[in-house]
Amino acid sequence: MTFPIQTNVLTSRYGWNEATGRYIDLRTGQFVRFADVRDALESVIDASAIRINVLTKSLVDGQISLAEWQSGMLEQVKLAHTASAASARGGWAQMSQSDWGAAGRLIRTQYDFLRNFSDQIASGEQLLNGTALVRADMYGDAARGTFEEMRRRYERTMNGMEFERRVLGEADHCPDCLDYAAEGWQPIGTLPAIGDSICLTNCHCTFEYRTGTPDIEESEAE
Amino acid sequence: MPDPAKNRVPLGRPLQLTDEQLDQLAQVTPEDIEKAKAFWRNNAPPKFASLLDAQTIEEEEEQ
Repeated sequence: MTFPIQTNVLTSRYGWNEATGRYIDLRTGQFVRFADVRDALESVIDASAIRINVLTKSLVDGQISLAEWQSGMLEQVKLAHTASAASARGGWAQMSQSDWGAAGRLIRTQYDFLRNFSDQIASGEQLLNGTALVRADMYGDAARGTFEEMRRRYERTMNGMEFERRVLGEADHCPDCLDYAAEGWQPIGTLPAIGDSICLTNCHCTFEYRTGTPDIEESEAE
Repeated sequence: MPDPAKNRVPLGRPLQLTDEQLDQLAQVTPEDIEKAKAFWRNNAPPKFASLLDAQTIEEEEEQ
């Protein structure tokens, strides 16, 4: 398989190959490693986390009202999750109306959590201290789960993948993630989503996909 | 010395958002996409700043 090497510097350095679900570096004709795409996303998530932290610290320090904080959080969540969704799907040009709908549903879930968070701050159930900062951080981290969900959707609906397995990330692993990873290959869409473990949005697990009938012995051996 | 407590903005009430309003707010608009494009470009590692501007390309047939 070869890809054209780009000479036009006015367009992106990267292309997207729909058949493989991979970015291609048009200067080299090589696939971009999944790890590099995820690392790039991590930088964007980190930037989002900084904004969320500043915003929440302003609330804790009494510099902004709860409504101002909530409004800022709504915007920041959408920003991070929108970029995350597009990065999973091959870039802005590849996002269909259906993809945007799926991204919107993932953002909507976060908005539900955020409304609950805001109500708990108002009622005093959530104290305005370090725990609020830690809890707010989770909204940026959740963009990692959006990336994996959008990718899973693509692999199932457009790339014909039939099985998935959980791959542990470079982090400490919670018992849930260890159990899910130990299950090996499972029908696609059946393993819990990234973020649905005890470790919540701190999860650094990813999914791998394949077609065909998985070798059960292979799964059990892994 | 100023009392920091006196300068605090009142916490106030949260935004009262219904399910329908949240549904609407969660929809991604063209304006949201432009903001997210800039956010990615400004915060991704320089090498990958244009990653999401990728266009679909077809692979070439081997000769």
